[in-house]
Amino acid sequence: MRKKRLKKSVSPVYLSLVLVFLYLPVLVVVVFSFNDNPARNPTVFTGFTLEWYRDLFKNTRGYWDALAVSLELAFWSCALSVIIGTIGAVGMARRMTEGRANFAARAAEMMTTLPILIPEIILGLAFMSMFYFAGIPMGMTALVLSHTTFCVPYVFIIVKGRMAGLDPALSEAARDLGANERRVFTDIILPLIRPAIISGAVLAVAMSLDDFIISVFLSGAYTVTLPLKIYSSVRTGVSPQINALCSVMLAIAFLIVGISKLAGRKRNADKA
Amino acid sequence: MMETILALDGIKKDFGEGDILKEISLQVYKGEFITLLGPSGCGKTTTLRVIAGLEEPTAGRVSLMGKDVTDLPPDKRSVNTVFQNYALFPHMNVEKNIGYGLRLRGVKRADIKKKVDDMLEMLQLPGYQKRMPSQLSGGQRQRVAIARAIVLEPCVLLLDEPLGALDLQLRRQMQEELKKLQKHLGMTFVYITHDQEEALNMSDRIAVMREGRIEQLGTPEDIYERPATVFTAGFIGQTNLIACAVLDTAAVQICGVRVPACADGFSAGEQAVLSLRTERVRYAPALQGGLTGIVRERHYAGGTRRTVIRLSSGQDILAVSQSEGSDDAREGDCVAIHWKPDHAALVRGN
Repeated sequence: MRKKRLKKSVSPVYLSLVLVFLYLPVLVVVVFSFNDNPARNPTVFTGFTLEWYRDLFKNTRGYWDALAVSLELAFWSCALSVIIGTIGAVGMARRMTEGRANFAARAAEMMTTLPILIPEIILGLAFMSMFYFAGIPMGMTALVLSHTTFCVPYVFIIVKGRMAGLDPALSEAARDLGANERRVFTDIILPLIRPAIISGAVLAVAMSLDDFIISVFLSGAYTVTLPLKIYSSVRTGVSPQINALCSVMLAIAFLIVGISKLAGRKRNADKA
Repeated sequence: MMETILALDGIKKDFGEGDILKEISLQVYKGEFITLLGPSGCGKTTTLRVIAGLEEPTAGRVSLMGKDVTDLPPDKRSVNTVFQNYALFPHMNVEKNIGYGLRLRGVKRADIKKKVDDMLEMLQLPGYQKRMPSQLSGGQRQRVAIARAIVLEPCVLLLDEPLGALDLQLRRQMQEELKKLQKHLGMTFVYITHDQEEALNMSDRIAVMREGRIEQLGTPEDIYERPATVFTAGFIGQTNLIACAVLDTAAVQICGVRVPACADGFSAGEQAVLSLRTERVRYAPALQGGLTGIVRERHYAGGTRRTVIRLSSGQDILAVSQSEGSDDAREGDCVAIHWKPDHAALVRGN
């Protein structure tokens, strides 16, 4: 009896501890973004202020520029990787279901997803030396190309998973009813894999915004991404503006998760 | 003279792992209900897919209304298919599913709506326009799948085991409805099933398929009463297959006894198999000669009675008779077995 009660009380305590452990540091950042204390690495909450947000939006320290660079980079690498990953996944899924999955196709499929396992530091180095040889200057182009490359596998895997769940008879039924290949794609396949594409896009944006290591190798003088900017400024201590900036980014992240959840719910409703 | 609407000429299909279709030649007449019947793996679905254009034959030609369509893609053929698992588009409601083919043809929105409404009326699904496929029962999905195909008024409608997923009662009901629908529309149906009862029930003609070939083609009566091969005889209905030797064109020998049989086309001395339907076997107390056997088992099965009679060769003959007014033969009795000569079919062994 006692044992049971003990068991019952342990699991909520454990869960609370895990959640506190996960979210307390994040909470501290958010709380301190409203702290009146202008010291670097402040330890005392002296009063409520919105000054750091005002500061941030006035762009006095260039954080806003860095965010703009990161968003532009995220937009392009998301768009490109979604296009490449989706086309690849649809084509690959078709090959697999048509029973023409020969060795080359399987090898190609594996090679596409392999970059996920390669350490980013190696990828970053590889990109740097390749762009150097190719004569592509470090900067936005190099960043977009590299981010696209490491985002494609995620989009590919998610969309391919959805394609594998599609009944090939649906495409055949559409052909049978008079649709050509293009109409089958736009009328049948695309609407049915849309939730997967959205999930893939969200993930690509998140991965791109978050990337630090690869960007270190490839950013030019005028294309400092937000993670790079933050890293360089915290070397001298966490300024209150950084806290405000991180809070803004957290808000964006929660928004993205919310969107992908909604897309997921739509997908489940389709399946039911 | 019946008009040929669809012709298959020497169709072969090889998926790289041996022939699925070895040689299929078939003429389908306008307005008929033809069934491809066979066990799973006999190539009936592949044949249908070749007709639909979803599969390219390795050899042979397909022609539709006298025109060679072998090289045309599925969207350019006036053939529509009702798929085995319906293949309704899950992201479109009933109205959009049925109207999809019309939309592709550029039919006006108002006309599409009218045709879809008429279809739903005809298939007894009025008011279901806005339902999603996931909100329909199996039988309703089936009707939507049929509506989606026939609304395009194809020359030939292909149906791939359309009733396979339905329970028995619904199956029976849909069989009736499909047959009525086909008569009403005057449309040519090519129907696939592995259920011989369904085939006999619905078809004008049946093509019995086996291992990539058409084993026999004929009316349900032909197939049932005059099977051409041991396979057809055994696949359709319940039958006794009795080995025999041909004596002359009017008699065969079974267990050393001369039995009348129609042996046209056979030569004396040839070994053959007599196909004898279980419900056509008659027996009576053995008084004089003839083919005799010992009653081994008697089973009461409701409307019918099943009697197993063992011949002197050791082979068991199953006789199914009406249980009312039945005889009083008992286990161990010696009985004489007989049947009308035209109730048994002589086939070559394989």
